[in-house]
Amino acid sequence: MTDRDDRQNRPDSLADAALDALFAEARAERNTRDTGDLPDLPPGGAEGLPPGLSARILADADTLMDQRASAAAAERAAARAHVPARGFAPGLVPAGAGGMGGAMMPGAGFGPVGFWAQVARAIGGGPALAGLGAITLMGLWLGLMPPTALQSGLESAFGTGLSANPYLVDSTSAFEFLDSEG
Amino acid sequence: MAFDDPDAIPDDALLVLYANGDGTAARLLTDRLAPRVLAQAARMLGDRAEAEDVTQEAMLRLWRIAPDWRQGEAKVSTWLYRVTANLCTDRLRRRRGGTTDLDAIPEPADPGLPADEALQSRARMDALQEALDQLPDRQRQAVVLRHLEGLGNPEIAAILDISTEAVESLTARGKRALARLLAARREDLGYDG
Repeated sequence: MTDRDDRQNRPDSLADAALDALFAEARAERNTRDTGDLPDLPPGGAEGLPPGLSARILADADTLMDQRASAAAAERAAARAHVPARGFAPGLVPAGAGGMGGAMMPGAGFGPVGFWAQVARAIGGGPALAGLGAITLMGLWLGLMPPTALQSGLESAFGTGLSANPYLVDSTSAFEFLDSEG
Repeated sequence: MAFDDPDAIPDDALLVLYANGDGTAARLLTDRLAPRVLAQAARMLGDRAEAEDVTQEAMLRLWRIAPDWRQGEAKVSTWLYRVTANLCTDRLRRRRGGTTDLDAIPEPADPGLPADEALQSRARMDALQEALDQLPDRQRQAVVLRHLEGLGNPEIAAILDISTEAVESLTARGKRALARLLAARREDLGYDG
């Protein structure tokens, strides 16, 4: 004998079939009755929703929709007010709060952007500018004071001294050569 | 926007339409979902006025989340059942911690009902509700969702945030408890013999 059979025969427990019938009746009640018949149980279907409740729910929906529309309109107005009229990219402002990695979109920004700021952004931002400056200074320093290692490296690479370097120009005039030959 | 066949539009699509400012979508969603929320809340709380408040609050939360709703990630109805379950649990906890709420007492049967069968049916529904009210919250939620709302175990598991096995256990224990509670009223229910 199963637990289910045992329960059905016990006087202190309602049979499964009776309970299932009760559930089925409750589901049917919900789907068919109107609110006047059964105040405790709401019926199914749109027509069964109490009119007052339906109106309150839709009023909430309308209120939130209006609030969102107002907020969006205010945001658009604020964005229009902050778009720069002149500069590197007039009318263009960064999309979002920098989250697009410097992408530019028309009229969707969060404040004015100056000319140099736009140039810096076009190059790649602060880190790119710092790298560019460091490389420039290093090139200048190497040009003015070439280290010995660099010079000996050049000689070993080309197999000659600096005097044989094809890039060195003989500054002796051709007229001086003719004078010396006579 | 014109809705040629409103029934064919999924809930999440309607929610996106509402978020984009379509009031008709809000009305369709209300017609479709609010009665189910109200039924769940009424069964959970055993009180119509409180159930209406919970329904309004649950739908308000749906309107609020509409702009952030990500289509395809969850069913709107499942999300709403879950919110309703949580709201009902909060109210039941508050109710236990406070004084007896007169509104929570089941309304007496309407003496004006003409048919004996209608009266007996009403008595059965009242008995069922009273028995449901005596179940622990989680068992009651599981039984209401499974046997009165007709949801499947996986969906109930998602709503209650538990495993499917736990849902099966909760509904089985809840059903056994209901059977015990209703046994004393076997004759009243008309199920004797």
